[in-house]
Amino acid sequence: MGLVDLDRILGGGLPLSSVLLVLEDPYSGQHLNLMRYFMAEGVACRQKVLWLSAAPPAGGPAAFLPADASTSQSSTDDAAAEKEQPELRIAWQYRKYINDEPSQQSQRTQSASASTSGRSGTSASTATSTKSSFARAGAAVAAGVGREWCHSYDLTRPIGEEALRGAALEVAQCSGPGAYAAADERAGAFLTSLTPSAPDPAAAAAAPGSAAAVLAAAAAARRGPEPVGRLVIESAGSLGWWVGDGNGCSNNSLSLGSLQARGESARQQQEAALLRLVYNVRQRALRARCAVMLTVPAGLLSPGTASRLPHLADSVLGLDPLSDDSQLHRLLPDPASAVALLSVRKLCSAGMLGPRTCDGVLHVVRHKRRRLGLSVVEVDPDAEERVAEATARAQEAYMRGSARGAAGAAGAAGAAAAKTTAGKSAAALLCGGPPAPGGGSKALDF
Amino acid sequence: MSGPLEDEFGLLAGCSLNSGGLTLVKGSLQLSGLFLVQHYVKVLLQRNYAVVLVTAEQVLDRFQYTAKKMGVSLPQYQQSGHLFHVEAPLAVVGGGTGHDADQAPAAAAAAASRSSSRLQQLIAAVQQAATQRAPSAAGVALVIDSLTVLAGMCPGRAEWTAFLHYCCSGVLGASAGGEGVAAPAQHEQVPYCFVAGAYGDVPDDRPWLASLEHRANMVVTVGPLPGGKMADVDGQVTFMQRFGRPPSGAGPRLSGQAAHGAAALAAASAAALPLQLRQSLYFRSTELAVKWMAAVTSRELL
Repeated sequence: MGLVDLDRILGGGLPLSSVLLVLEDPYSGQHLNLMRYFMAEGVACRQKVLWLSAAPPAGGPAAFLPADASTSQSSTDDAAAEKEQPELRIAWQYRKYINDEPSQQSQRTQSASASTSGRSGTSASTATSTKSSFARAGAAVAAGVGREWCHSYDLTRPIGEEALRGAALEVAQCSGPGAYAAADERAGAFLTSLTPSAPDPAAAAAAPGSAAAVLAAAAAARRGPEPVGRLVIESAGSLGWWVGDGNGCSNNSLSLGSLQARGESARQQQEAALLRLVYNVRQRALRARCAVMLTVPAGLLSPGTASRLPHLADSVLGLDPLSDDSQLHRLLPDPASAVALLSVRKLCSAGMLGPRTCDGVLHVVRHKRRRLGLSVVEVDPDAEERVAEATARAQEAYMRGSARGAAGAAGAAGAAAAKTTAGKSAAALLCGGPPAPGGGSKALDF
Repeated sequence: MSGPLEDEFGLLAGCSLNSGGLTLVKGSLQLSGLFLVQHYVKVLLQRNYAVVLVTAEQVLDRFQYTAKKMGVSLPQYQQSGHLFHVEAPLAVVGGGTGHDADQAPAAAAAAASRSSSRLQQLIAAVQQAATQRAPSAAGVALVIDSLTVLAGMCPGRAEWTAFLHYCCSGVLGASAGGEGVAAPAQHEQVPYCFVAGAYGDVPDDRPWLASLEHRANMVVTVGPLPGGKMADVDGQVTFMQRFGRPPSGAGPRLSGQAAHGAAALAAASAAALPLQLRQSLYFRSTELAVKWMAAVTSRELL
């Protein structure tokens, strides 16, 4: 996925031939960052990437995608990492795929993702890498940083045109009356190009070890590995997919006005077209060596469409807003970096005998300037109390410094009130703390 | 666990298959019922049914992979003429709203008609597959892994209703058999089962889902535990048999009140009666197997 935390949440990454549905958060827009990671990882791994959007960014993908953060590491790390290699204990069986020859190609061919715990027959194989980069990754694993699945990216630096040179990245704008049909056609062609070629029936019927089987194996080896791709459909179902291609503001307003005039029937048609598009994408993706990421503004869709879409995807993530004045925001450690909440609604169960259940754990999305971080929501029970105490101390210091006498008495009364408020903090009630003094028995609200 | 406990699902599933008709498997987003459909495919093949499998939610490769874990080789059944695979057709993604209000209903009608033709193509493919079944097949079964996903093609309501009616009607059971079947016996009715998966949390599907529930002989509902998550139990499967023959006296060895209910049913007439049998099973899924439990006690948890 390009984001190691997200790979961990999904149980190892997004399997090939699966569709990830992201329900957008209308306020924070963090789905765009997830898209950036996903596409950047595809570009870094030299995979085919197709991006369907109603409104591609002005600077194009060169300005939208983040740069690789690992290029900023010094070369002196390589020697140290190589020295550490014999002592590394690596959980994933990467070692058998390492080519010990020093003349190995330097180009990375890392696959889209590692398999999930329930691996499917079409899961991608782990890839080879250069010795130094692998050793760097292995050192990161040993250090507990966990960059074992994908590259690191710096959200503050765009990838630039130079890095995209030679990359198989395609951007297509889909907007206006025929947006869904055009998207279906583009996606269909892309996914068809990634469908593995059918085995030769004669070769399949041949006995193993026979000349026909050997020739078929040699032909397959000459063809090389099957290509892997990533398809990203941004904000399908949003208003941008309805209106025209932006030839002029007057045309846009005219289209929007006509849509409003048609009202409910137009919206139903658009949603039906959206469902058909997603249905077709999934049917084709099931047979292709491709991972699909689809984001939709669930809040704009009708309840029927919003509830059907998750069943047309293999994995579903939901982004929810996190307002600054919410109770949860106040109780989180380091609330300044928390920008949204992430919930896992559905996980891919391809190849599993039974259903795959979600833990129901809520994650907080933290924007740490250069990268995103996903961590489990942990409420700090003392956070509110600390804030109240700090506020009280600040008030006291202000009162002491600004006025004397009566102003100081008023400040002391204010500090006492703040302490009383801290005693009734929501965190204490939430964590089953002692009841507020004089506040009676307040029922705990779970 | 020992053999008889592992067959609990098979015994309960057999109750519905004995009476034929529709078996509806209902899941939700929290807990999918697709794995039950896979188990039903296994049970049907082991009972020598000719299965026509329509895949909409998963591909045949994944069915083969999971069947392999259950000890069933689907390619072998395909070669013997007991398993036929029909892929769900792609939907027609029409244009948008158009620039004229009059064009919008026409565009929608055109898309709906093309979608209905896709359903007709699906029916034709299913019929053709059923006619190619092996003569030794004990019956015909149509299995659709997810009607909810298939409804994502957004066909017209009338066409969708007609498609569901065709699937439930048993016409496949009266279709001509394969080679080697004598001409007078071509249209002889053979036992017919229709197993369909669906999700009950889509509001737009509630009308036809309710109709199917009313029509079904067995409704299998899978869901999380009512009291919350447990470490060793993933969920609960409830079998509600609405119509059909009661199980025999020897029936499934179920515990507790279910056994008492089974005995009461055995005392009833052997003819098909609108009797109801409700039985729940708990399950825990692992990488290689699904463990079924009639009751959650310390013995099952250890």
